[in-house]
This record gives sequence, structure tokens and C-alpha cells, in this order.
Amino acid sequence: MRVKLTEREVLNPVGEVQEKKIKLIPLPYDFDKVSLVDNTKPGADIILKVLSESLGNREHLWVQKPAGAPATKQQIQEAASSDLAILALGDCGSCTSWVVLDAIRLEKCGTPTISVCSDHFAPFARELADSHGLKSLRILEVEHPIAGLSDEKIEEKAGKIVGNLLYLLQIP
Amino acid sequence: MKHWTERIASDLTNWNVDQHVVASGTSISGSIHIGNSCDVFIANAVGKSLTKLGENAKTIWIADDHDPLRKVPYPLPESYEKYLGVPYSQIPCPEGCCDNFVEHFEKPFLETLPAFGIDLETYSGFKMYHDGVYNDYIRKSLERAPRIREIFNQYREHPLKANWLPYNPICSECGRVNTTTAYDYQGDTVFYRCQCGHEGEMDIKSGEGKLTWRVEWAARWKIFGVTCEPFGKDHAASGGSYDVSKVISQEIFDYRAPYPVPYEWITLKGDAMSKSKGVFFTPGQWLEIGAPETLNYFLFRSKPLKHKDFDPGMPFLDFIDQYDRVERIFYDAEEAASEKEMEKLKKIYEVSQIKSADSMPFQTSYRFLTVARQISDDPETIFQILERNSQLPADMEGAEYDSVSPEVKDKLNNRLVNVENWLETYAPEFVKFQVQKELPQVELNEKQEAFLLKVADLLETSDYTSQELHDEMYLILKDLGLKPQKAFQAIYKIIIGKKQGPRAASFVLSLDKDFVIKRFRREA
Repeated sequence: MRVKLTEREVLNPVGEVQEKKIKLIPLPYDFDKVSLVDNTKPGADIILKVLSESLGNREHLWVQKPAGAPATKQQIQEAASSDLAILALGDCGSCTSWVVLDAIRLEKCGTPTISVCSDHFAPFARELADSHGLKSLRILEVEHPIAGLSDEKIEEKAGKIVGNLLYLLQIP
Repeated sequence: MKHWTERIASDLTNWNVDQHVVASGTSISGSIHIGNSCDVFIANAVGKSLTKLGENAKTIWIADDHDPLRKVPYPLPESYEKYLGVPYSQIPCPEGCCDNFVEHFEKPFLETLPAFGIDLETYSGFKMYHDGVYNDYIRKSLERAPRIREIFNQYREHPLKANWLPYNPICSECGRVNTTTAYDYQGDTVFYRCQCGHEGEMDIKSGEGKLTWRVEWAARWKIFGVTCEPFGKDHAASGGSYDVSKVISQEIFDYRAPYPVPYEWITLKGDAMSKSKGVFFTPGQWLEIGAPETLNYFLFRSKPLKHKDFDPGMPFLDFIDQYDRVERIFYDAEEAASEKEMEKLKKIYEVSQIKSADSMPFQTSYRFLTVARQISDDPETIFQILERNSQLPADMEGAEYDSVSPEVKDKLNNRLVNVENWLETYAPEFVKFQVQKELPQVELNEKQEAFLLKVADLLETSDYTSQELHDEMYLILKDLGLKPQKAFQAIYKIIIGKKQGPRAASFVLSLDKDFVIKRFRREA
């Protein structure tokens, strides 16, 4: 049998963008108010609820935005009014892109962020963040998949990342 | 902004309880150091925050004195190896000064706590067993042993044997508690075998035995109604003591596990603190070189899971400088780098205080005192040295020692005692000096001699601040074509007989002026 090999050049769609590096805003020593940026992907609200419940007596500000589009200027301003923003959920190509890009916009506003992406899409999220000059964007990985799971299953998966969130925030 | 101890207290207010009990506990396996007593300090701070929030709260401390000796602690002789496996409560005092081993190591620790403003109820594990406090919990644990075994096995690589019981009798033959295996029980009688070959039985009511640690921990949460407990990170590992005890607490004793506050170890000059190796630093040792608030600050300035290293040598001076800066920021006597930093530092300072003060307490540089104290041991003379070197607060400029308040004198004297102890115990050799009463036999070159004479003339004709004198000395040495290092060496050599010393200008101004002039002219 003869096999014909054809060499093809595959371009990385993320590419290498020459951009000025962006400074990651340090997480606050303590915070009273946290924005929960829900991109309305199935399970995003459950994950954010589980995570926010682990944060103790703090004010939660829910901001909803569509998954496949950037947050509006008003939504960003609203989310940036807290001491910290947690964004969810990046578990597919487009929603991960917008989670990362919205998080970068918030960081530029001076609001530290933690973005929740599925472990399947986390490498892409990091690459995208890097190409936008923010290599160290904080990404919290939740086990893929989320879509199609029962609420209980999603809660269970979210529960598993609570420890990492608390560790990031240095909450005992 | 809240401090992390306040945040814990705030979260605890959601618990529907009549009283919050913040627990701490220490294994009395040797000297109690700042590493393993961290939980006492954290528990006290959380307890105080709860009280501030209007909650009914108390802090308790349990001496784990019924645990077996696993390693001979420093500085005990090898002969103590015969007590390995024996409960601490049964080991004699190593120096014959106390009733037993436990009291010998516990006493110095408990005696220091009032200085730190720590007020807690203390309990002895040994006494609790002998007073029958654990009896019902032992009975329940024996009854529910199969379930407890299952819980343990969920976290174990090698499952426990089918007849395993969560209880360790003290062997009536060899006195050890970690070499016995309980294999059966009838009513309150437990049957056991010991590695020494003895087979026996004992009554749980005798107190001559103890529950397996993770079961004991869960039992005492319920006994005391514990709602919060700080503990070392070893207990916090996944599948570790806290995870197991939490399940046992809920399932066996029907009690919600307390709010956990795991904390990171404290290392001493990079090494893990170890009682057996003698690598440790006790709260009592801290009080010898620093105010109690400074230890609180050391423990509370970073989050509990951040690594902390302590070095009582030169880095301690940097640490105290940092504490003093934070104190000035708290009282708005200095600006922080940013608004956020100010808020954070003020919070940490506030939590570290034992008694709050309305105005800034008297403060003078610890580092500077390490020089002044080597020149004089008289507080009044030292006060004058501080004044000559602009080391007193601005509002005390021109003040006489006799006219200052007793609080100021106390503050100065306390710090002087701390400095004296630091110099004696932890100061490196290059920091130490002694002013030579007689002119030392030193060789100086012509330029150095000329430099000293010119500085003597300067001092004779005018008064200077340390900065002014420093500038004048530079003009002279430049004129003479003398390198600064050589010029200052001349000062050190002729006064302390060494090639190096404290910052030259302030050092010269710290000394008696007539003495310096005469010495520079080789007249004294």
C-alpha cells in the first residue's frame, strides 16, 4: 500500500501577538465585596454559587453577560466596582475566549480576577491570555465537562476547586 | 478591610451557638516554641475578635499530656530513651524542679501567656481521662468501632485489621501506650496485647488508656463545644487528621466539626523547628529580646498559610524596624506607600496590640540602642545620647530625662533590657564593641593622625548634628587625601580598638565629647 504524505503548515489561531505586557493586579489582602461574572453558560451559576458560599460573610455582586460576546462597558464597570471578580465559565472555544478577554479588561481597570475554565480549555485560556500580554492571568481549573451534567454533579465538581480558590485568596 | 482573624470571627457569627469555643492544644513533648504554640496566639486573636463582635466566646488550651513520648527532647540525656512510648504524664521531671515532665515544659510556656495578653482556660488530657470525661466517648467509639474503622480505611493505603479498636490501653507491664493493641472489649473492660509480650485487660474508667488521636480530637470538639480550632498544616493535609476527625465528629458524635484554621510551620533560620534537635525558639525567649506585641505582629502580619521564617540575629533588627514603621503608620506619624498598604498595616498593628493606646507610644530605634547600650548602661546617659543623635521623637526635643513621663521611661527601659539580651545572646561579633578606657596600642599613619586632630578641633569649637559632623568629616578627609574607609578606621581603632564599628559620626556624637577630643589628641 502506498501512502502519500503531504506536509501542511498549521497556523496557531491564537498567534504570537507583540503586545505590551499587562500587569496582573495582586489579589487583595482582604475584601468585602466580590463580583460574580456569570456568562450564562450551563452550570456557570452553580459553580459561582458554590465558590461564593465558601467565601464567608462577604457581599456578592452578580453580573450576567452573554457567553459568546464581550461584556458591555456597563457590565465591566459594574463588575469592577468590587474588590475582586470571579468569572465563569470557560468550557468551550468562544466562551473561554470571552472569559479571558473580559478578565483582562477587568485587570486593566484595576480589579483582580479569577477565571474559572474547564481543564480541557484552560491551556487555551492561558495561551490566549499570554498573547494578550497577561501570561499570569489567574485561571482556576474545573474538571471538564460541565455542560450536560446534573446540578448535583456540577456542585460536586465545583466543590473540588473550593480549596484551590481559598488557597489563592489565602483564606484559612 | 478586616484582618484574617477578624474575618474568621465574622464568619463564625453565622453559627447558631450560645457560646463560641476557640480551641488550641499542644503536645507536651518538650519545650513549647513559637512554632507549635501558634494556635494559641491565633485562637486568642479569634476569640477576642468574636467578643468584639458581641459574641459570647472563650479560648481554651488542652495539654496533650497523655500522648506517648516519641523522641527524647533537647536537652534531655539519652537515658530518657527508656521513656519512649510512655505517656508524658508518667515521666519524671528531668531536673527535679517540677512534679513531672509535663509541668517542667508546660510551666514556662503558661507563665509567659499573660505577657501576651492571652487569657485561656487550660485543660489536661491526662486529667480528663482520669476524671472520666472521655468515658462515654470511649464507650461509643468501641461500640461504633466497625464504622470508625471504615472511615479510617477510606483514607488509608493499608486497611486496619477487622478487630482493630480505636483505643490504646497503657500497658500495665511496661507503661507504654503506643505499643499496645486493643483487640476486644466487654462492657468497660478492654483486652489488649503489648509489644513487650504482655497480654492484659483494663477498665476504661481507670484513665489508663486513650482514644486513637483522630477519634480523641473529634470527641473533645463535642466535649468542649469547640467551634473553631487552629492547627498545623500537617493535620490539614488531604485525608489527614482534620478530614478524618471531621467525619467521625459528624457521624459518630453527631457534632459539627469546628471552623478549621490551618497554619504553616515557622522555620528558625531556615530550619524546621524540632524539639528533639533543639532547634526552636520559645515565646519566653522572644520576650527577652522583644515586646510581646512584636511576636503578635510576627504571627499576624501574613496569612496563616504563608511560610514564616524567624532569625533572631541581624534580621531581627530589620524586623523591629519594620514593626516600628508600622506603628508610626498606625499613628499617622509616617505615610505608607499606598492607601491599601496603610489600611492593611493599620489592621495588622491593631490586631497585634495587647492594650490600645490613644496616642503613639514612645519609640526609639532598637538598632540605634544596640550602639548606645554598648556605650553606657545608664538610661539617663542613653537618653542624652539619643538626644544628641536626633533619635528622640520631635515633641521630645530638648527634654531632660528627669522630666519625661514614667511611661516613656518604662518603654525606654524595657527596650534597653531587650537590646541588652539581644546583644548578649544573638548579636554577631561584628556588632559588638567596647569603648577602650585606656588608649589602645594602635598604629595610625600621618594622615589618619591629622584627621583625628582636625575632627577633635571641630568638636571643640562647635556642636553638630550627626549629618553635619558626617559632612564636615568628609571635607577634612578629602582635604587630606584620605580614603573614607581609612579615616573611619582611625576613629574605630583609637576608641574601640577595632577596624570597624557603628556609623562614625553618630558614634562619635554618642560618646562623651571631652573624652573623644582627648582620645583623638591621644591625651586620654
